Amino acid sequence: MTDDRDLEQRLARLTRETEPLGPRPGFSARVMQAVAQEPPGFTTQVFTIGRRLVPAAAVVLAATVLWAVRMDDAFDQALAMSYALEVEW
Amino acid sequence: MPLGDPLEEAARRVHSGEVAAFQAIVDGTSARLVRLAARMLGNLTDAEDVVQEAYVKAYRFLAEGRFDGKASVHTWLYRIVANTSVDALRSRSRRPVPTDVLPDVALDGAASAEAHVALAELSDWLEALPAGERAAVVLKAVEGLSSAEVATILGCSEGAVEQRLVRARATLRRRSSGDD
Repeated sequence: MTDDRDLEQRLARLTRETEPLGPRPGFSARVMQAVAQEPPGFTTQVFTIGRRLVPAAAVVLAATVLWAVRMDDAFDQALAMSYALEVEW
Repeated sequence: MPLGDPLEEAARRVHSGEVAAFQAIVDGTSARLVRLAARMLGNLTDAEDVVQEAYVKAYRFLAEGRFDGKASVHTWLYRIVANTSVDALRSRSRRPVPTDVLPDVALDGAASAEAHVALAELSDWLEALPAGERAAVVLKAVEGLSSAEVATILGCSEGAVEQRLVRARATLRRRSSGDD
């Protein structure tokens, strides 16, 4: 049986000798390519879709306000006419 | 998150949507992480695959704001790589890889021939150990982590780590005396 000291020495030697190990050339580029292909997460997707919808939502809002103002005017005119008719009658 | 650290700054930029900022994280951490995975798995090809997988996971976490900043970016990545390596070791033990492809000693200029030979020797020596014991030996005796840190990474108690180390040393002693 080998004693503990031999075991520690062998581990220490292998630790020292494997110290220069590192990624091969091109590894970093490979990782960045994989990261770029990663589909966006749920939160990011929600924000992206939300950002795209902002102009459309603004147009819809403007149209709704315009429609509401016109409807209000038309209602006021109709109401005024009905009062006028009532008074005349 | 402390200001001034280039890795923490890069993590913040990734979170704000700057994908290219992740390059700084890869460049600043890949040497140590690939070395850790290579020591765990015994060859550089598997090590690079595992580290790449870990980087993709990390990127997803950063982009979605799920990195809480409790540990430094480096420590956090180190844990992800250690865990991914342990998973790879466990799946390898369920589906053994032919032994003739385990030591990847193809020289590529990134490390000395001596380092590749030492990696093959380490891999061959630790081959007899179950995944949990092998991970404990590499993290504690080779990477120099404390038992508490190893326990956190392996998701077990410090006592279980010590037990694995005792069993692993007994196996390694037997193997070494067999080599003599």
